[in-house]
Amino acid sequence: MIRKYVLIVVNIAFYLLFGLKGGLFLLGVAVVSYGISLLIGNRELGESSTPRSYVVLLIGIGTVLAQYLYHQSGAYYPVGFSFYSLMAAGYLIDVYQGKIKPVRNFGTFFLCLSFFPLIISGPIEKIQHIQEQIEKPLIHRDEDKDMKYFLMILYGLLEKTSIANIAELLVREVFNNYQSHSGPAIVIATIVFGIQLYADFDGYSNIARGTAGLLGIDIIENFKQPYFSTSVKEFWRRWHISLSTWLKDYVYIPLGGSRCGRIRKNVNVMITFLVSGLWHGVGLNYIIWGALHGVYQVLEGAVDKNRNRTDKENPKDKSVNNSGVVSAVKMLWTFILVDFAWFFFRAASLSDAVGMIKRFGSNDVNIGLIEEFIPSGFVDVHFFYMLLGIITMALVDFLRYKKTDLYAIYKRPPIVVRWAFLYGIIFWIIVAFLTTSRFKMAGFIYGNF
Amino acid sequence: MEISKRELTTKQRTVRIAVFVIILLVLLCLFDYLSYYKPTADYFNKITHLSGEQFGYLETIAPMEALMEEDGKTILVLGDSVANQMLESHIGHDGKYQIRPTNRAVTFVGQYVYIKTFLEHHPEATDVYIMMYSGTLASDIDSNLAYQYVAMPLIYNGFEDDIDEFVMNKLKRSYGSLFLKKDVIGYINESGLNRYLYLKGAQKYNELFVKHEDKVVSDVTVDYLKRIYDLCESKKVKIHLVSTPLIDTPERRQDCEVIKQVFKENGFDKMFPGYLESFVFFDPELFMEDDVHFKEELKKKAIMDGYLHMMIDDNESLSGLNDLLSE
Repeated sequence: MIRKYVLIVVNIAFYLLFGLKGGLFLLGVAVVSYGISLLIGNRELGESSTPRSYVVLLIGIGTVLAQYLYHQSGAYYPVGFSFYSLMAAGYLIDVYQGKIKPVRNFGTFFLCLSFFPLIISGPIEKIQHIQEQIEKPLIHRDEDKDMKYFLMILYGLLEKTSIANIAELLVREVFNNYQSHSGPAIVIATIVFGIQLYADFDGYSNIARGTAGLLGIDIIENFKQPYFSTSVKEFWRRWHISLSTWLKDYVYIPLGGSRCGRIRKNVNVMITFLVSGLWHGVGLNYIIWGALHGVYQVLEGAVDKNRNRTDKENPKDKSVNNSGVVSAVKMLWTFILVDFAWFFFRAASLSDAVGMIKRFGSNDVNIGLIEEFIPSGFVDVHFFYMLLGIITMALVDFLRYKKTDLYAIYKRPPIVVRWAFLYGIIFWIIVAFLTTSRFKMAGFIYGNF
Repeated sequence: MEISKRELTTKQRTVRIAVFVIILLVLLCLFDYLSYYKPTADYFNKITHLSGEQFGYLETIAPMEALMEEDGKTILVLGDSVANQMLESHIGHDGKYQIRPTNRAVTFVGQYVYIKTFLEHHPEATDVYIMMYSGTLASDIDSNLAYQYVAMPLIYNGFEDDIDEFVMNKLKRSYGSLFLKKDVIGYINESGLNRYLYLKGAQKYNELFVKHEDKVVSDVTVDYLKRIYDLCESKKVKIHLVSTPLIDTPERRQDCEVIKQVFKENGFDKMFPGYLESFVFFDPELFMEDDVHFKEELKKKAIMDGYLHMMIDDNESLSGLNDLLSE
């Protein structure tokens, strides 16, 4: 019980760090959604008034559209609004559909909505998932679990400082001044951005998950080695899982999902990804990004259908298609497709993206490729830390992908070695952080959405 | 029994966490010390990509060393970064002139120390010129620059006595008296890590807790203009305060009106009669986005000398600079 009130105070204090206005905004969203949930939640589950899909869509798509239009108006946009408003909308839909009962205690509801590890960049949790854990007394602490959460925080910080922050120097130099960069530099920056975005967002998610875990709240895993996906469809089962789940539950399925024929299914996929694009920002480039993912999936669906037919006719081809080399090629191809879409995502505007594409083939910059990155402040030590970080992240993801129990490996050596490892990681984080300390760095990328 | 076992476990865990944190703190202290310790400091600067350059040395102390040379020069020309743009081409081949413009961050405290140092080493000196754009009169002990450009270089290099009580109190309020001790400054200054950590902390502290007044003419300027005047009077040296060309905007003109008022209130209109007459307003097109400095493309000797000519023709107190342009 004490934990609940302490957390409420911490949440308020944390959010007020970003200003009183944002705090009032959050309180407003909490009061409105709490009130509505009580109104619609008073009917009995399974009553004759079955939930209508259009109401679900109205709340789901309506929330994203409202956010988009509000964002476009240029008015004050509070930190984390995109995230907690989706949490509130999802909660209202679940109450409306009778899946859950409304939270009666406003304090509990506010705590779940404003839970500070999630407020900046998600994951977009379900209110009821947090509520269940808040209301459960925290009697016994599991040492291994706590250690896992601590390691999660360290790993998240490492991803942020050693990869995302350093990559930002290179990426912003090229994307902000693309006119003075060659095609190869733009390609490198686009690849690096794909890695940066993952390190940044996964880093934040790990920090959030670790922090929440140490406070006794287990939150969902937002990433599952997305760049090991062999298709774009699989990618979306591994990337920003909480948003994908939200869009599936509150947009795609209410639209009819895959149950109403192939054409309708494809339309539903396109609508879902366009909504996802709208959620990310006001520029046309985000819509293009969403549309690209929609198109990828529609085309993949067509190819898969064709392949299934071939596999049935010639079962030998199926085993070839599942071999290691083919999987690796598919992973690479998926990364190329996803990274090309990220290119639109990162460009400052659609016209910038077009301008950059026009420069893809150009090589009119009269300096070496490495020299092109010098104005960014990117030097050899940055390259070293970033490369080390990327290798580590790739290795960790590979081991996880292979279902290796990393914690068991950590636990194996004696405590002296384990502590030396922890101190090594902590100093790596500190030193990597210091290398970018002289530059003006933005916060977490997804904090802007 | 089970309860006591659980308590013991909790206790063991607490002790373990405490030991881990203590070792971490010790390692952090060691890391910090190695970033200061000479043989390893360079390596630490390299791996942390922090600057090995000591704060304020190039900007504040290097000019001081030039002023100490007993080279028989008789006219000292000081100024801010705008003056630096105008005089840069004359530095180094300046005959009887010692030209050492710096920047506004050194404040009038720094300018005072320059003049004092020059006069001590040049008993034949006749004139001192200070060329500043009007905004430089606002330079104060602020949270961003004063530690690097005033406190650190002056105290570390033995000019502490030239910082008067009023300014020292301001420095103490902003930076804490512990951090104004020579040994502590040395520990901070000689480590890129310490410089970063301390200045970040000081900046945050100032943002949160220290109220800085935004005056057109700061208290520090008023205080030290008097001291500069008295110093030159005592050495029988003529002091000339002049303004560099200003951007023609309503805000800048308004500031100049305030300056005129402050000068009258403090008797500076009598001490520095040329300053108020030296305001010349130029087309905004000639200035950078900061509304202060000339655009890069104008930084050519012929153009800058043309502006200097204009200033000298308009202001009698600048006539002593005529020879500079003919050299």
